[in-house]
Amino acid sequence: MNHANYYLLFDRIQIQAANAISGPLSYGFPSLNGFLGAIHALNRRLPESDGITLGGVLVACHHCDVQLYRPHAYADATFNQSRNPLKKNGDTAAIIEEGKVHLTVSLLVEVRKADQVWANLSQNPQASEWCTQVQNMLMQQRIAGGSVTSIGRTQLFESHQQDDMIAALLPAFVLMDAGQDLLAITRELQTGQQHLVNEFDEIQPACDENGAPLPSARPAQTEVTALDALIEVATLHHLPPDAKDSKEWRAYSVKSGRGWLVPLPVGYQGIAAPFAAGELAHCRTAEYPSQYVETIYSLGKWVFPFRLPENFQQCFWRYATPQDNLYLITQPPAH
Amino acid sequence: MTTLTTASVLAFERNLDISDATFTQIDSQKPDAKASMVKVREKSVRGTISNRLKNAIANDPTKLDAEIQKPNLQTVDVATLDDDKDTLIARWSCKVLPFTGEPSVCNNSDYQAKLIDTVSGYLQQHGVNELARRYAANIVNARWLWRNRMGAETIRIQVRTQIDGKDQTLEFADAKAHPLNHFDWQADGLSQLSDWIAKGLRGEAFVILYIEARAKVGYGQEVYPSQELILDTGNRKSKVLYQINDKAGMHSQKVSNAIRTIDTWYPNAQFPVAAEPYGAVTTLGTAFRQPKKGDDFYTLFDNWVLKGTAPSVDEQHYVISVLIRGGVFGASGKE
Amino acid sequence: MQDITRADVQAAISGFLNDQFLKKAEPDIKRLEKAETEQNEAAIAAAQEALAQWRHKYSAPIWLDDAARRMAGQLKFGSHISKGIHPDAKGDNVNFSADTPLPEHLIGSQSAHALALDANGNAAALPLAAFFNTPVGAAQMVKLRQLITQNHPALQGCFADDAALSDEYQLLFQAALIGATDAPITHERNKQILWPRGEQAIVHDDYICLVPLYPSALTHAVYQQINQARYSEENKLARDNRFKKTAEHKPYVSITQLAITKLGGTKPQNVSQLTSAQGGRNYLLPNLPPKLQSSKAFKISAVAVTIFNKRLRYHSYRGWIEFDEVIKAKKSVMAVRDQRKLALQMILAEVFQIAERIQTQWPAGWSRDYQLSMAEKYWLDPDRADLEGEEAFKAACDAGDWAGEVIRSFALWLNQWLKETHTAIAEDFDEAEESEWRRAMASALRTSQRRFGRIYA
Repeated sequence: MNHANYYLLFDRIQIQAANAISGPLSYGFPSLNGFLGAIHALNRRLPESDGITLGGVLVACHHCDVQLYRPHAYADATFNQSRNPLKKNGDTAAIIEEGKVHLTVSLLVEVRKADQVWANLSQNPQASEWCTQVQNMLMQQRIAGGSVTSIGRTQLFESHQQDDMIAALLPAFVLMDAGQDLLAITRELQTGQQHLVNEFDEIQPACDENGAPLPSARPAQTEVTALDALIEVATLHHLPPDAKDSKEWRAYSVKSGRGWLVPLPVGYQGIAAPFAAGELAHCRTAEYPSQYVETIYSLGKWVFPFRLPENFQQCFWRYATPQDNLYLITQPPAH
Repeated sequence: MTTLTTASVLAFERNLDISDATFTQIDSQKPDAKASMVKVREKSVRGTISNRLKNAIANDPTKLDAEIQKPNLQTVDVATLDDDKDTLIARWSCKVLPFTGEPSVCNNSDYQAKLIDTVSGYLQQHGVNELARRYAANIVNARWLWRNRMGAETIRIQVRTQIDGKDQTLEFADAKAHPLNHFDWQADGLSQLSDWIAKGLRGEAFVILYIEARAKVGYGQEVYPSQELILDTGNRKSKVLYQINDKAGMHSQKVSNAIRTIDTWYPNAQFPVAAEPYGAVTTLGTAFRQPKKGDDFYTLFDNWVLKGTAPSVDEQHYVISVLIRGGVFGASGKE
Repeated sequence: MQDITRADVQAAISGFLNDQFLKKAEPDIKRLEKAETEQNEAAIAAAQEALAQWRHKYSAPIWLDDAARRMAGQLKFGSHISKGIHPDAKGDNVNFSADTPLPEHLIGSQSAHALALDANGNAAALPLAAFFNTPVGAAQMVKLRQLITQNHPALQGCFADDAALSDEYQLLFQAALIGATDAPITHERNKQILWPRGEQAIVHDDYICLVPLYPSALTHAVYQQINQARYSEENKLARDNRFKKTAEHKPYVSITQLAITKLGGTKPQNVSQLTSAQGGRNYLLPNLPPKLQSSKAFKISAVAVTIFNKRLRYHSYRGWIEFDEVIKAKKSVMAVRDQRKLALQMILAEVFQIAERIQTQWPAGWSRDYQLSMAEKYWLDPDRADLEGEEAFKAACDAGDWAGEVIRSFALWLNQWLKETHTAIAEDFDEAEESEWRRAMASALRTSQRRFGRIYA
């Protein structure tokens, strides 16, 4: 939505037991679709007479408490499970593993009000009544598989109030696309030389103060793919002291200098041709076509609100129009 | 005309959406002081050998002695009140969502129409009062405190809500005076509470109940949060208790299970069990409703919806209470 | 793939059968050896009899016939499996041909270096999956299944001496590999997502039901790659040698913060062959946001005149760690500057989380009993202004002059610490640095105050 005339803030939504397994390769924060899906569902429930539609969603996380157990700091974690009801013969049912997370998030949603505007927004009774109404509606929904236990407040902003919106999000981290960083890291692994995303969102080799290229911790491997880069993001290199630089072991991560990067499921790709409506047996709907898909990953970055791009539009995630067999949630490009 | 079959994909959202319960504490002598949180701490215990030993060991006194003298050291979590606090405060909230019989997912529109028709018939004839009253009773009798209820000297229950924009509060002075094994009792305020729940289920208002129990269990006494189900603790710890932001707590599903413990309609019922498809009680390892006797949820439900054979009024209450519980009930998911 | 010959295929098949034989017959081979050393004639005969049975079972005509006529019908193959989503999900598997590349910034099954073929169904038929995955040819780069799906000419007569029978087997194998798609079926336990096809989905009622399958071939590749990185002999040795004075020190890697899920509980073989090979275990990478230090435990000592002290330093230590790294690192100027900003923001985030908690959770008027500077009281106890008898407090609070002092205290606190811990480069932290800290704090404070509907100059 490029014509948002308002922004709606759901401030500090507490969500209990949301799905912590965001995809087949990641855990922690739920997938973006969990949030966009909830806002889309809310949009569908808005009375048409209001003439209001909801658009992109900015996702900010204040608190994220994954329900897992780690026997010691370096061990792999397992998710705390809940017992299922007994089977009909009284036996314990098999445990189907799930991962849960308790979250506090704020969502900022683009709002398009087609007919007349709310005059004097902060004092406008219709606007505040609408806020109460949508807050109650969202309270009754599930978000990312979890239950909403409270919403701090719901407030409308006008589009020029960017600073106020950023202030309202503090302290939290905002989820941003970092596909370019994924490319830069892939280049680094391919060339054995560090690469950066510059301020124009382009990828360039990194250099030290004297303009000399900086080597990566790994030698160049031409066969490297973005998947290797994804695993590299989770990898820490322990480097022995080299004579000239230091006497101590150093740690090197490809992440350093790039911000807080994380694997990010950004949607799906079809893995078989789509089926016509009604063709796939036991599909949840016969009204729409269906397709087998797999999760598609990219990199995301958790950014402190002060560091969000000047172009605020860039912070909002939207359902892209499907193309090339891809069903993606995207942010608008920087330039 | 083709015969009606159960939708292969059929699911209901739960209509009583219950939060985790959190534990705080106060001193009953200073009821206005700020409550402090109940913390979980680790302790090492020297257990005794009590598991069944191999015959070779059990039958040989010297081997048995040696085995029993082995220190069975374990680390477990424990939660107690502070030495200067005697009252456990447990708090949770319950959203009551409108119940119309409409599934959240259903891929057979004929079936869905018949289903909604069946449920609205029930709602017209019986309303939700009987169920609401039982849910209310389980809030008021503090069944949901589970083991904490047993050791308590007195338990006060407070229920707050907002109806038509007005804050309302109900107080129940003595939860332990109300029995757990039947619902033939009255208490001041019980019918008011059951009205609120009914209103929420009927969709006349969006009802959230905020429930608080003050259980006087004694200075420094042990209290009982939920235990985590951890599949692999690395043998370090044999009991891990549930914490929410460092506060001891009870899982929502445990509170939920107590609130829906309203089924006294199964054959030869001696006490209520939780509304579950097979009447399963985990602690007893028994399922009280057996498909071979035809009184499990699926048999009753299918006969009612598909064949139009309404079960007895009691069994109708049961079937509806399972729908209110929510779950995946489609023909392809049945076990 | 073109240079594969009939002899290559035959060698691969007999190699596979021999491996299977050895795996199954191993106990009997040992029994035979033992019997022979003991010269126990009866035992020798029994072991030989057992071995003959194994040899018969894994002879080409017997095994291939069983594989084509029985096993092939009992397995469902795929790179993507339904049961990985939920063990009770009885939907289709999909064998995805990863030949359309993805855009470079996206990761999917195409991004794996090699995709194994997964299978599930009757566990007793699973050896057929291993058979299909048998590498063929000198380079071992081609799998038997690839030849089968492509009807490769080298296969002729490889599955049976009788050409027609061999072709028949080949067709049965092929049918199993491709899978039947004329009656597609999913399951209630499969996740199914109604996906809006673009921004106008509501208006145009334009949705598609996406059914994600579990990419077990991809997750298998990731599982192996992580294990290889972590547990290779080379990596283990380098890690162990780190703490040995005399050993040669080499770089090693660690991958921490992973989580493990177990698919299929105690019976991973019910989920799939690859899942079973992993004991059901799958690695998940963390995608959590940075964790701000818990603000709950933060206390202010009754005699403290400022909250900007060592205690606050401890409570914002994650940001400090970041800072420490930046200062030690010698890297490109831009990266350092970015990293420093991030570190500063982490510290600010932690400070403001604590401040917000004090502002909103502590009872109004709490600061009356503390020795904090008035400026910090105005900042941290704003609701005191609304209490009775606090008109002077309110006036000063609203005037907002106090902000400058809070900002200065913050900048001083940060710089002081950096000087203390990095004495060698203490002169680097000069006024320019301090004014950078001040600017950042000023902007953070301004926005935070607005959040509470308070304005100051």
